[in-house]
Amino acid sequence: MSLKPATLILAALMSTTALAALAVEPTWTGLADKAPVAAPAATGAVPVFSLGEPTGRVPLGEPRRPTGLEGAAPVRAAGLPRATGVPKAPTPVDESALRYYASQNDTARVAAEIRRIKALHANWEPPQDLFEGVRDTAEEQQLWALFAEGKLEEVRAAVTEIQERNPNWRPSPDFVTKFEQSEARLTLVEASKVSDHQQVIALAEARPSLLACTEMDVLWRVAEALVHTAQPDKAFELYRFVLTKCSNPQERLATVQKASALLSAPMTERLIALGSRAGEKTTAFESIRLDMVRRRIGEAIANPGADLNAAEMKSFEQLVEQRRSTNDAMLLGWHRYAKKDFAGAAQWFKLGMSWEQHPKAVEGYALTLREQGALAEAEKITYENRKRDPLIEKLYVEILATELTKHPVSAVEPARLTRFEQVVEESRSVVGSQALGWYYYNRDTAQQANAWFKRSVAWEPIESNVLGLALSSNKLKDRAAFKAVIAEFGARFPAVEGLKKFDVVTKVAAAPARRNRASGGGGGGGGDSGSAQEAVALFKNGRYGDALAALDRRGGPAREDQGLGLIRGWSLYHLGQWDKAREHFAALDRRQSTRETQYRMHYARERALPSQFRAD
Amino acid sequence: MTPIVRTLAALVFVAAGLAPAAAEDRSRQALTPPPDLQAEQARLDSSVPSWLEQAWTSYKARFVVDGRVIDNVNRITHSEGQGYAMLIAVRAQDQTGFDQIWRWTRRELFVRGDDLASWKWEENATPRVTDQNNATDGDILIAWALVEAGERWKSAEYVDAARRIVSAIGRKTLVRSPFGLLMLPGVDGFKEGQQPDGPVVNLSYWVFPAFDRLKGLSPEIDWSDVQATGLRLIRNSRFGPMRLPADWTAIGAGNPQPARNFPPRFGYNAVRIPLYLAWAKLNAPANLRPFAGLWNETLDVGPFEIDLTSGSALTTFGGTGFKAVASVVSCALDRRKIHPSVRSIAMEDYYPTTLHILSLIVLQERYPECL
Repeated sequence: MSLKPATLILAALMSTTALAALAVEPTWTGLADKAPVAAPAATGAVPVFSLGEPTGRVPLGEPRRPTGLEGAAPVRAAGLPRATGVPKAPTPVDESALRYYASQNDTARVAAEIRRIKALHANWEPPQDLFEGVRDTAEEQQLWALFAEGKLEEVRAAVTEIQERNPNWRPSPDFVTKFEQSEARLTLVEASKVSDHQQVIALAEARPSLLACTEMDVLWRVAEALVHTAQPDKAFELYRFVLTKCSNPQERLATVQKASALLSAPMTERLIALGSRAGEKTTAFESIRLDMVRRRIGEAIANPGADLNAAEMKSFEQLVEQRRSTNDAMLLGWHRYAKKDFAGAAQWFKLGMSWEQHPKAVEGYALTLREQGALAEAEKITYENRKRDPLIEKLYVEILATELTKHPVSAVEPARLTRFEQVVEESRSVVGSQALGWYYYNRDTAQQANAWFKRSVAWEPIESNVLGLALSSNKLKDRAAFKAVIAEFGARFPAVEGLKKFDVVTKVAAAPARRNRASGGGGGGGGDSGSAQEAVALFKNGRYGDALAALDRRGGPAREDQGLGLIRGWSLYHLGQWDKAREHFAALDRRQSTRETQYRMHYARERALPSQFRAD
Repeated sequence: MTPIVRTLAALVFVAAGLAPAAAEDRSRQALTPPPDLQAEQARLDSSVPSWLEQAWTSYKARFVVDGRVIDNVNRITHSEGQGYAMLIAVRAQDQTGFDQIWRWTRRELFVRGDDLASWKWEENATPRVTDQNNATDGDILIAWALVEAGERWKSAEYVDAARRIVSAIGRKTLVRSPFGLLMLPGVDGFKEGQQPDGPVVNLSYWVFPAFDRLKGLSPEIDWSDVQATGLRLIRNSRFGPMRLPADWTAIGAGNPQPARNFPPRFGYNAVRIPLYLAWAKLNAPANLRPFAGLWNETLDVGPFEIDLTSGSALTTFGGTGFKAVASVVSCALDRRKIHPSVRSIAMEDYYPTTLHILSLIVLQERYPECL
């Protein structure tokens, strides 16, 4: 079998004749010798491909070897060979009633009708295929059973077996057609599943009867293949065929849905219009249009610069309010959020929550509150809803963790602190536990700080809690623990390794100080190492703002090594300046990528984004 | 052990499908009949439906004279008619009537000397048997009726007679063929060489519902093979545009063909094929669908004799009994209730009236839901 390239095959599709052909009743290309009288519209094939060879396989039931028994008179022989398709001379006889009666297996009326026609047309010969498909032969019964179970290979085996017993036997043309159709469908679906688009198109060309309303799955797969081979206009014609010719409402709707995911918006709009024009329930097709609006809003969230049609947005917003759709309200909330219109976002989230206590709506609302500085309210709502979704609990922890690590830190009411500690304990939150560590550290309660850092590191060591563990040990004058932490984690966390340097520096620092005093305090001598030590010392004491200032006095990030760079990033982080921290870590990462800078980048980015868009 | 007990035990043994070695203690097995035999016993015990009692009384009055069944259309008596009447008499529990018909049959038709009945008898001819040849379906019907009579009336004489007939059928009418064990319509005249396209068979002579009953009588005959051959031939005899079997079928050319020496016709013989299929519950759609539309009962079109070559309707079969046969097919195939017009039996001609009674018996015994 030679398959034409898809471009050639489908050239016909766009020709005016093919388009015109789509507008009329489907023809039965290649099946004319046994076309039913009244071809139901629903089974019409798309007359778009030229008819190729039916299949590359051995046609079902074709003779494999000659036998001596084949001289039997063919006309009366049982199990007649399949119709050869030799065109008959045109006959003036109207056989439609005859075929209709036969299709009903109404033997009595068929015989009477033959008698009637014979009386009028003595030379007329009745067709031999009247009862094809109506009365299955016994052998075929077995084949149909296998066929119905989808055992196509077994059908072939059964045909061979029957023919060994009965060499003249042939399956009926009806069976052969359906079998070959089924086989072709199977091959096409397989090709489609492995995205062999060219093969999908080639198979559809070889068997145009596959492009029929009864073969919706095939139609969709072929259309998809056309889109993936950059022929959207041809795919459009297939979808259009479905909407103009096929009657199943669910399939019509699904067709537009599929098209809307693959075709451009204008093309989809045209298809929706086609569906609506045909008198379809408009709500069904409207839902597809709404999906398109939703998709556009989603794109705008990812790309806040994108413009949306104001009128379309307005009518969408009205519809959302009218239908009280929480999901859509959230979508609108995130859209405002992405545009940093936090007040507007809060309104939509709140509206969504009022219709349905959806965790995502709660989360969105809390995030907008936080962005607007309404931290108390954000804390309250996330605490109350923390059990609804792990993300809300996480947000609650983050909100309070931010407050606890603020610089300078102010006292948190004991009740709030207690309930926070409970949540952190229950959720084994690394972020929350390290924040508690820093809170107690900065409140000069090193014992409690050390306990929280220990817990935090046990759950998952990260740079900040390991750093905290080391520093709090130091504060407790537990030198052994301090050194042990550095020894264990120094290799993993440069900032922790940096503490070793700091430890040495502070010991050495005594001497230059004396020297400075001795020299009578020369102004410029403070220099490089002095402010670095100062920054590290300040950081160690949790005075992140002062540490930053000291680093700035040194000459800024460009003059900082990896260790000092991390001190700067951490300071920013602990000051809640996550955007800056993220940028800084990113810059560090560009200079010298380590697992830690990448992790911090990710961590800082997470803190700055609503969870919906977080990478995890 | 009396002969009749022995016979019954043999039937049990066959029905239960036991190996001969397991059948040594036959008396004990006879005490616990298997379920299908219990059903058979239930039928034996049941009383005669009143419609059958009335129909049989009228039938006897109209067609039976001194044990001789008269085919009023052909003005003859034949073995088939004797067999049918004996079958109906057993079901009508009319032992006197049965015995009379059997005695006449034995005396007048079993004159060939080989335990088969000559098929044709004419009152005004000399000798009255005008064709010595048998008709195998007549023999089968008579044997089947005798087996049932033997069971009902505990008569070893009937069963022994049946056994002799069945044995003769096996010896003289069954021949091997590529299609399986073939049943010739008569001992003479149908074999290869005796017909231009022989062997020639009559597919309506495969009285499928009888085969199960005959198995116990003659273990040497493979009735399953005979049955399979019949089904195979019927399924492969779809002739002409109407795809129907012929009255007479030649298989000498390999595939079944309408026999050359007979009209290529779906006629008064072949019309019984679906009745026997349904009676034996061989009602796979592949078997019965070709016969499902013989009668359009809504418009009362058909059933017709059909010329198979052209597919054209010939004359309508004369009599309600043919419609009753069509109703049995619809019932067996689609569980369709029978048309009111075939519910009651009027005494028409011999053949349709007989088929009518048989059809209602089939419905009563096998498909009461369609009545």
